[in-house]
Amino acid sequence: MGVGRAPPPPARRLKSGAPMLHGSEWSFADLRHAYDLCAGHFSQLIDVPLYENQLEVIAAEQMLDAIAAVGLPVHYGHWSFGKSFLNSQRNYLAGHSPLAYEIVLNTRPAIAYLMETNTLAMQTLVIAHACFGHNAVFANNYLFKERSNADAILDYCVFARDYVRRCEERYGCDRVEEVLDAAHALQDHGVDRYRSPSRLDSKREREAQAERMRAAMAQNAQHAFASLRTTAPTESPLFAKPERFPAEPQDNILYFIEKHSPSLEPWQRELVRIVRKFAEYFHPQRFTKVLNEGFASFTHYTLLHALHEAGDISDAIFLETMESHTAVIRQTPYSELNPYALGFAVFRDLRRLCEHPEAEDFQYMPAVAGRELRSVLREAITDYRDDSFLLQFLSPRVVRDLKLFACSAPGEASHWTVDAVQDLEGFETVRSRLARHYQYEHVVPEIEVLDYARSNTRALTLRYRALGGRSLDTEAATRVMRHVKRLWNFPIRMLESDDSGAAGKLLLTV
Amino acid sequence: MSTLIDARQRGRDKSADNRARFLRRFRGLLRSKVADLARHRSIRDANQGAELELSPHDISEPRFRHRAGSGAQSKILPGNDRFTRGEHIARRPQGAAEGGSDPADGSAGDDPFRFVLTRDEYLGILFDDLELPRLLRTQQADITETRIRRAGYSRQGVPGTLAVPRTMKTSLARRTALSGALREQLRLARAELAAREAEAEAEAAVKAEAEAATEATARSASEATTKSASEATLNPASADALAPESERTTTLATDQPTNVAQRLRSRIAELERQLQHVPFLDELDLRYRAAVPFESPRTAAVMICLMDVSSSMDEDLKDIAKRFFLLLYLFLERKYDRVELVFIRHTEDAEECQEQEFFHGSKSGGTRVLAGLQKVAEVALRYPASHWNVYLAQASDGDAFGDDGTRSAQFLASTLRERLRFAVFLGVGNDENSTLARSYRAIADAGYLSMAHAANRDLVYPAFRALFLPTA
Repeated sequence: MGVGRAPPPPARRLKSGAPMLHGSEWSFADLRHAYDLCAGHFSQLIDVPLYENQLEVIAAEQMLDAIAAVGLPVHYGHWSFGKSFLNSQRNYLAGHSPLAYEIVLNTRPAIAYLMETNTLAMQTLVIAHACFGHNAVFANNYLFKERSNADAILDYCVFARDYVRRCEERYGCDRVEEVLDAAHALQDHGVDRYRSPSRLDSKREREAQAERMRAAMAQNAQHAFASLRTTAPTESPLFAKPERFPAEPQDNILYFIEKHSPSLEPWQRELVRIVRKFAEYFHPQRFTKVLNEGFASFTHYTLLHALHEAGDISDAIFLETMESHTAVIRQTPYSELNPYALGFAVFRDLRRLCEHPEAEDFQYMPAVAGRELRSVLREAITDYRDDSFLLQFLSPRVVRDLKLFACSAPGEASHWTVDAVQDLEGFETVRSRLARHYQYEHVVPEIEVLDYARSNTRALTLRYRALGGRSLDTEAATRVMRHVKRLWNFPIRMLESDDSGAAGKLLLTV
Repeated sequence: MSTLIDARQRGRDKSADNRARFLRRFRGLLRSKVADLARHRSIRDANQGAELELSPHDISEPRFRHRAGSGAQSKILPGNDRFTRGEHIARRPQGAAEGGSDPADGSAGDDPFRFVLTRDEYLGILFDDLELPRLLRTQQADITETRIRRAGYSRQGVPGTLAVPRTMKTSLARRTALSGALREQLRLARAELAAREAEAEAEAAVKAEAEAATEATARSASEATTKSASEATLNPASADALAPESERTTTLATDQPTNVAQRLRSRIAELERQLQHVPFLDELDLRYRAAVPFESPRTAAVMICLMDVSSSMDEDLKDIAKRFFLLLYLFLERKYDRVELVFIRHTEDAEECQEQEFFHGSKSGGTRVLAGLQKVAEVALRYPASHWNVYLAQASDGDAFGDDGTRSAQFLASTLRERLRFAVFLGVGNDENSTLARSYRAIADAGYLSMAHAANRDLVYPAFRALFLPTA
């Protein structure tokens, strides 16, 4: 009969009758099947509500577009997105860096982009990681719930894009760009650090408010001229001792500019507001990086093990996913901490703490040791952000496993001093210092609006608090201040104060 | 609860707008980069895109940030396999790896930002301040040549030019036309035959039924006689009314239709035979690709660049000349399929050379323009006017000594001009009224030569534009 082609291997079937996932090619039915399998195992792991998932299979160019526009499907036009597009495109085409396997958005429904070139194993991993791990954090973490409104963001994106476009048509690209550039420079200072913001408004409310703002501006102008004519000079605030304004220092500089800038037109205020709203939206992602990636990695690790044990995926798929997993949580010694590695280590240790606690754990981790894993996990992803999460859940065991050590050097010292190593004695030091590194003021310089001389020179005074003796990069700061000047149009000063907060020396003026 | 969407068909190239914004934002920076590039690039490459490098600092978006390495530094690092509490670690001067500032931050900051401009973007930026207009030729007429062009199909031709798809189309049309009537008849005949057969079957069935009915009636009639008389009168009557009718139709169906059916069958066979005789491919169907000769403008040009490279022509003046040559080249390339470049440099004597030497090589010596023109004449011989549009572009700072200027002008006007489609002289530098320019002006007024002057780079394009503006 000659040489015949080998018959295709019979599809392996489970007891339930559903075929086992195998091979590297996938179909949409496979994706759906993988999703359903993951969903089953995830509900065994933890009991939290999830946002509905929307999985979108996209091609490489679309992934590049998505990365360039900070992941959002719709975004206003700005050259910085073009710059990041050119950058990632070149890196990708030159083979310097692979593209992300997935992007998942904190939206409702949670949109997850899957690359079409992923193998079936990767798709399974990515579904477990993004659609369950990240989704659970988005839907439950307090910071996300307080700061970013997943329901409204997509509508707001469309509103922002259209608004910016209309402004460009009306006032010209250059003027719009000037405001956006300036507002972008203050992006990190557009969030209330200690107060949770109001919910993101829907589009209609936004328009209504813009209308009110315009009306108020017009009215104010009339009043201003009226009072010029009628008010007696002695009554004028010009001659009164000016009150301090703002009464308390304000850390949300963008908000302050939006509300109080003496020179912005209403549409410019709206642009500042748009940038501020996006800064607010992205704020939680920045400060839950370890928590978020850690839980997502822990989720895909756990789910893939469960899938493999249940015989839902072939050995080959399991091994391929574990190889990717290992690459993701790789930690190079003596280099920056990989948030995936750190977060994963903590979450995996939570399982150990709950299921097989040791004597040491009852002493150092009394809040966790021996408790039910499901409730601990739920608590961990719901009530914490990176700094508090590490303070609460980093165990001596993880410090030992990752061999974390703390060293320090005063500004001028010629050497580092090792302050603590991975033993029980050094544990507290390592833990508290590590947590501090994830605090807002460690990452972003603490700069506040100290004073606005609104009754005379209209000068704005900012204050930088040099915590721990760290000084401000004045070269960069000068450039930022020039941007701020475009939004303010009156003199701006920057003071530097020490830890105590007493107003200190003058740092910069523009 | 999930939705799975295949979004691959959704719009791509979403970032094109932001890319354009980026180019627009750094137009000034890009312009200087492109100008730099144009200075060093070969003229021939101007037609391609270009990879540009921008310093990350120039395009960075500033943020407030801590000064690297300031204040009390504290680090938590993984992988400790050798240090104990209280130990000192030497700090590296640049603060890499184990201490100091974030290494990733430093390296990312220093990498130049590279990206590729497409050809259109490149030319757009290059001519940004020049605004390339619709250029019209003024003095030169087109030479024509006879070329062959496709012109539909013909019935005659050689097998090599057989247009197979077209032939098959014709064949299909012919077959449809010839067999259409036959097929229609065949269809009707088959339908009729089928109808006849169905009818015959139906009648056979009716007949069988009728026979069964008569039997039944007979039986019921005999039963009925034993029963009531009123019932018996009704049933036989209906049976009688039916019986003759069914007999009559049966005789009709059995006698005539068999003949009709047979006739139909033979007709069908005949039609099928006729259909088979319609040829699949007939000689009538053959179609060939036709070609007709036509007159077209000649599409090859040669551009002879002649430049004085004596020491008075410094790099700046050469750069002006290069820009002019570049513009002319791009212009010619829009007009002609093929543009060849010939570079001739001259001091006291002239030589043909490569582009690199032409623009960047230096040569010492005096200036004798005539030598250059004679070399041009020699080179022009290689490009017969019947096949080539010869363009001469001469650039010089205008030095000419003794009677060189006059003799050159004379040589150009009398000997050289007839071989050239177009000749242009570009004066560069400050002296617009140089010796050579004065000599050339006479023949330029007589229409032998076009003249332009560019004192600096910015004037190259206006000078170029003035040359090619239509003389209204």
